[in-house]
Amino acid sequence: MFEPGQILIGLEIGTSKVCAAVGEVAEGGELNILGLGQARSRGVRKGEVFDAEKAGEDIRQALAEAEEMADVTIESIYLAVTGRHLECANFRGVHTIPTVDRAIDAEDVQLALRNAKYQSCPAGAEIIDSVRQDFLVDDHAVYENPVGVVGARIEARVHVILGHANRLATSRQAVEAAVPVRVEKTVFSGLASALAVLTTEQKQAGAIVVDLGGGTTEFAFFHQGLLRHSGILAVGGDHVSNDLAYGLRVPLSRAEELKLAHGSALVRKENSAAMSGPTAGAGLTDRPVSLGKLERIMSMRWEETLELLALRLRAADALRLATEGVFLCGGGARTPGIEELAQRIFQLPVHRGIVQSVSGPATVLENPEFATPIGLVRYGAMRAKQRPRPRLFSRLTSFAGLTSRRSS
Amino acid sequence: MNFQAPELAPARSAHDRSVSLCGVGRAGARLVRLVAGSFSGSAWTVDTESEAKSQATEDIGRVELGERTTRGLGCGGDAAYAQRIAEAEVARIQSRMGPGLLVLVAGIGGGVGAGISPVVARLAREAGAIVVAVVIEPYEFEGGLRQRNAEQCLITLQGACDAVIRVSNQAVARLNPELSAIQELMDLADRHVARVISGLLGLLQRSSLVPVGLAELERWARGRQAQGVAAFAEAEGAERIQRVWEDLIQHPFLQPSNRLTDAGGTLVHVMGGPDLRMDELEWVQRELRQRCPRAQVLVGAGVDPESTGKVQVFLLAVRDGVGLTAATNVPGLESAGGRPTPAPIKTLLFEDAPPAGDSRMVGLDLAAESREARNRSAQAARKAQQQQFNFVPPWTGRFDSAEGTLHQGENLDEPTFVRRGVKLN
Ligand SMILES: Nc1nc2c(ncn2[C@@H]2O[C@H](COP(=O)(O)OP(=O)(O)O)[C@@H](O)[C@H]2O)c(=O)[nH]1
Ligand SMILES: Nc1ncnc2c1ncn2[C@@H]1O[C@H](COP(=O)(O)OP(=O)(O)O)[C@@H](O)[C@H]1O
Ligand SMILES: [Mg+2]
Ligand SMILES: [Mg+2]
Repeated sequence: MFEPGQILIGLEIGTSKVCAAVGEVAEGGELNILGLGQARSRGVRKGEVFDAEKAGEDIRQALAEAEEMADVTIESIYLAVTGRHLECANFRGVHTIPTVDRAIDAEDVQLALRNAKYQSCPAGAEIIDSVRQDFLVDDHAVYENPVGVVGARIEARVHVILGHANRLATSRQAVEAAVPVRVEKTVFSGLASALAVLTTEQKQAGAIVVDLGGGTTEFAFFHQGLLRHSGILAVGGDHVSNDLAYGLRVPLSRAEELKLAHGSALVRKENSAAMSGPTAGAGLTDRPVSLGKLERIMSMRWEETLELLALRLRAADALRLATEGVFLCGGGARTPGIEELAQRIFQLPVHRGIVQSVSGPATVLENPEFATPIGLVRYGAMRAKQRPRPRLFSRLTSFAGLTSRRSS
Repeated sequence: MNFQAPELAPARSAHDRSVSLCGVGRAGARLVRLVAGSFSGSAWTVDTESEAKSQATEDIGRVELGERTTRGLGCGGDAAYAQRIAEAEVARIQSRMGPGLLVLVAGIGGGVGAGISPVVARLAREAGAIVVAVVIEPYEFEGGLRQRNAEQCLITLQGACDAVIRVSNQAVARLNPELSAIQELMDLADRHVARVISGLLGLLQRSSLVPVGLAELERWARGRQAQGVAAFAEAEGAERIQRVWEDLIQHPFLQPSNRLTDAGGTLVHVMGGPDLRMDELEWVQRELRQRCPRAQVLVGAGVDPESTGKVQVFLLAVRDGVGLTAATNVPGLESAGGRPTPAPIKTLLFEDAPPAGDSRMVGLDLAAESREARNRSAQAARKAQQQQFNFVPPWTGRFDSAEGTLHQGENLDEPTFVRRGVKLN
């Protein structure tokens, strides 16, 4: 059974930063963040480790810092994964009940779910998480739980998050080679962020979380308490800086500074002729740049990125069902004007995502960048709670129907 | 920032006529085995699966990579993994390289074909070769991961090759909905692809009456990162040229039809017996012009004494290189953009061909003639290159060495405003 006082660790090897969170599950199920460690990320591109050695050093630093702050010894972690190789999609699995006029039992349900899983998983792929959605019995009636219903054919609908097995192994190995810890489980980082940011009520009513990271943008959509759809786009804040470097003809480092100092997701007319003043890191020879240009370059990138997201969310009917609106987290959520732009594109209320029912230092909780590692701690807590019944696809309300198993 | 056209190795020459053929991955190797029988140059394959060993034949060389890493188990469809394996063993691939022309064949939905063919292409170009890749795009039923492998590979290959010719399994499936047995469908797709490869090799190898070949292909392809489609058809008997043409324009690989109407350049090579007539070539040329209003049109012909009564037509249609749109925006963002003016319609048939009725036309060996033609095309190539020097590959800055982020034919790593053609001033 899940024990209060249990310590859980989440690790995100992000494109911009490597970040570890140490959390403790309190009596009432609340999370208390005890420690946080960070390092600038140097071995990751678009969410995936490409230089295991550098990533290893950064992982070591982040974990050591978190250990020290929380005063614990870390033995196992939950690891966030993302990248273009992930595929998040809804699959169906059919199972025909052998004898007619028989009530569907738990085994039939498991078989239909297993078929859905096999449908989704080609050779070389690994399932990271799968969430059962609902069941169709004899092609018409929809059930959340069809056990006991009489029918001849049962179709399970499952949301599956899968990735290339090799690339997932690369992330795991980067950790296990660098530090003597075990990777308990890999978790899609977009899902982790959503678990940190949404309340149970919001997950029930319908809400979208968008994590605007450095090299990738992840999204997750919850409705009726379940993860309904998710995905990643390998575009992020680094693309914004990259566009600026090119358009303003400045080095990347200066582009990043300009973005942080003067960035905006919207074009504000009054800036059309203004020039940038000196920024903190700017050298003496740095010429001023046109803020009008800067805003136009940035707004085009953000507009495109959010529109691509809207396209995918609309296809899953999420924009209609997410009545609670869209919650933005990740470093990109700090961009001035991003909420207004997102509101215009999604046609939904847009909020900054704040970590929910967690206690800890305010500086940690208010940072949109920390949603992923904190969400991992919650994921771990939910999983631990569910452990006594580790059946495939078994469902616990508080756990939003999340279970998983390695496919290989 | 200084954007320059990629350096062209001086050794890359059209005049070295040696043509070699390389199949990468299981599909690539299979296709190479299918056409190797009628190909006189050197043929070889690159794979990671030891399973394929049993099918290897003696006159086809074989490079097996990653024996230790994958233990002969292949790459599980992971192109990035396959690429790393190849990069760890470049020397073994390099040992096979030479100047001349390399025709690369790969199915790009899987891991090996998609991941390793760009490595082979890059090494070949470094060795001074001109590289033309024939890539087989996957069936839709193969699923998202494979489609993405293919998309990714296509963009990478375009940067690594002189020209990429796309052929599509799905196109064959779409035009033959009655074929439900996968094996039959595969066989039909194989036949179509094999004929395109043979057609291309024929064009490059056989001496031609009206030489359209390596030099012309190179002139087009060089530094332009051309991407195109190709098809092959044959017919005999009455109205053979009309019938072969009908087959071609309905060919699965040339669908949808805007692949022809939007082409920036087309190359047709007609092979016939000694009875091949001038008016047949003219007819093809006229039809082609009508169908491809924007394109530079090249028509070539060859005679094979064995083929009396028959015609075989190979048609290649290339889009402008992808880089061209970016190039016009890049050099001075502030300066005016606009597309380059299309090349004037030019028909090699009339420019370089000996006048009809010339007695030399009958002979097959037109060494003197083609030397002259080559000189002329070399001049033209220099001129064409001057126009192409403002070619710049799409700029992706810090993402240059990363896997591209592709969406509907665009690489999202390129600045949004550049892709939208927005001038900042
Ligand atoms: N036409 C044809 N296409 C094939 C054949 N086998 C595989 N393909 C295609 O080639 C792609 C790559 O498959 P394969 O060559 O087996 O994988 P690889 O060895 O990892 O590159 C697949 O996605 C298919 O679309 C075949 O026999 N014929
Ligand atoms: N104030 C800000 N305005 C705009 N972008 C910001 C701001 N602060 C951070 N970012 C951007 O957020 C990104 C990093 O977000 P983060 O969630 O930490 O990424 P990751 O999880 O991929 O490491 C970077 O691209 C950074 O430039
Ligand atoms: Mg992140
Ligand atoms: Mg292949």
